Amino acid sequence: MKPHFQVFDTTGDVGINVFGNNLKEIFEQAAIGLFSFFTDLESIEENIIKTVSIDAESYENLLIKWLNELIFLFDVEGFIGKRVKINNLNEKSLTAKIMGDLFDEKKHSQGILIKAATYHKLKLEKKNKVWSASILFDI
Amino acid sequence: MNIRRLDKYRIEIPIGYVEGMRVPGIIYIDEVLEKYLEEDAIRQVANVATLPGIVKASYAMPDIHTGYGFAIGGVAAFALDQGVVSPGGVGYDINCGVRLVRTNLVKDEVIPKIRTLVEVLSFEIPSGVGSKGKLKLSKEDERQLMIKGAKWAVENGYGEVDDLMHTESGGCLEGADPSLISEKAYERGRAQQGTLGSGNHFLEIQYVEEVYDKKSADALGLFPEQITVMIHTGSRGFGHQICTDFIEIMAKAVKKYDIFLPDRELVCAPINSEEARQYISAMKAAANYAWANRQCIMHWTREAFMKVFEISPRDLGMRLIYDVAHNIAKVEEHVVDGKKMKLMVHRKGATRAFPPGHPELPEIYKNIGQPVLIPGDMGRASYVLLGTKEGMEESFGSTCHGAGRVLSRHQAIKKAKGRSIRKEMEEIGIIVKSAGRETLAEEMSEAYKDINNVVEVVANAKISKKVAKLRPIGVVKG
Repeated sequence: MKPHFQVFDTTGDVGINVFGNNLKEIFEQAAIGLFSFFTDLESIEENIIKTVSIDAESYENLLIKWLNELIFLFDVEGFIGKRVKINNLNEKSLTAKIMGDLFDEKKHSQGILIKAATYHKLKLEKKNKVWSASILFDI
Repeated sequence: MNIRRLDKYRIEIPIGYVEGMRVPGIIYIDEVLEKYLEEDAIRQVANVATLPGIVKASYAMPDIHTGYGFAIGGVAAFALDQGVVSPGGVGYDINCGVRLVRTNLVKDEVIPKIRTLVEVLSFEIPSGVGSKGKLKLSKEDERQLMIKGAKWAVENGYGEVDDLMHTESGGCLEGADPSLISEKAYERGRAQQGTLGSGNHFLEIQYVEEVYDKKSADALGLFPEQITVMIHTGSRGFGHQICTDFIEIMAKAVKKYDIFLPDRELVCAPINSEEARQYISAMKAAANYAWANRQCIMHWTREAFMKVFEISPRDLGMRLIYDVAHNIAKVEEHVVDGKKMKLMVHRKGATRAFPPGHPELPEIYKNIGQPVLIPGDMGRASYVLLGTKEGMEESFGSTCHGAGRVLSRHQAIKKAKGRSIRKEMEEIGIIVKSAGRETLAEEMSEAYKDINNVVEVVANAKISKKVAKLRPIGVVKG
């Protein structure tokens, strides 16, 4: 199966369903899904490489902290990733490389602002060899 | 256990609807709006009723919809000795709120220049995803800003002392401790002071379409056809980061203090714990950040009007009517079962609405009650209400905060396909400008409940009183 994500929305907010063959793919696709809200990713070039490390207490906790770190990077630096490579991943930590560029109003369309990734109805599970996750964002 | 209609404007969620409820749930809603009431939102009102120390009832306003843990539109009060404080009961956008500004101008003077005015305002006030503010704050500036709130803005030349007197809590909650704020929140806050944000945040030029209570309108300085400006925004990334930080801290506190939760977004800590003390202090810093934000935006709005109309500040007469928070937790005194009690009142998508005579009101509003500002969607209307004695006794002096969505973003975008929302708005006399690629579709009128219905419920339930209706003619969106 090709790892992928689908956007869904509830009355007030937005979310993504993510599918992959392993947890690394889930974390990668969740990040791309998040970045896709900020702007059209087709317009983003891979000019900058960012390294991110996260510590957490569980995989679910790690997933939310990872996404909140990416929201922070966008909010402070305007960084938007186009490609993500998770290098190390275990229940307590991850390290990742993200290839992308800085947001520029002149080059990139303005999408929606995400305040945070939430634990609301969070799902992370493996069924019939397929991993999936469901994450809701506050907008 | 079934939901029971108490009267035309209230339904009750009885104890037992979910396991562990300590008090019932009360939702202010009529049969028209009940059609939109989501099962998840009802459950959330019931879940809040299970939290330790909650008193009287878990309330929700007619603009209710599903949120994280607490429903949007929720009001819950907790006893200080046994209760909890929960970041989810305040929301990610701490002190998201509304400010209403009056002018001496009337509709006919402004309409010929409305396009220019909207252009100038959208240029002067940064908005939309990825936009940065004009203020470059040092770390020390940020510290001062979180301690002083709107007062910081006024001290730095963004507005007048008089503005502070017309802001809830004077635009500053005392007790914000900058040393408790994470480095991440400092960083997110640095470039976003003085920005509108996106989504449902806006700056609107409106006129007074209808006055329901002339005496109160006079006291507020409002008259028919008069131009007003409404600003809706909050604490931006600074507040979002504080909420994110404390959701993690509170998740640990829940384990430490062994609190049973039906939903993990309800994470909280006993009010007298160290975790709660830190959250409350950080929340105050974010509330102050938001008040400074709305103050700075109002200042640039004043300048934009002076430029476009080539008018002196005196002739413009731009004065703050009121600024009110709708995402906040505060310690307030209320009467419960005939006894005066200090309570931690959480309002998440609900507005404080104190009655006439309340000691926290500015002197000029003592006789009429607290002004309450209720924004509707960009195509319909907004309202000015007042707090009432009945609301104080019943809903901890709280009322609704807006229209509440009925369509999701995608549903709205689908509905707007092939249409130009900008043109449709122009046809009904509203000039809109937005930064985001899909904001106008997401924010179109059909995406929201009719504000008129929402306001009818709170007015008929007597938890607030109608003063005036405002109609938009120019809208700046993120």
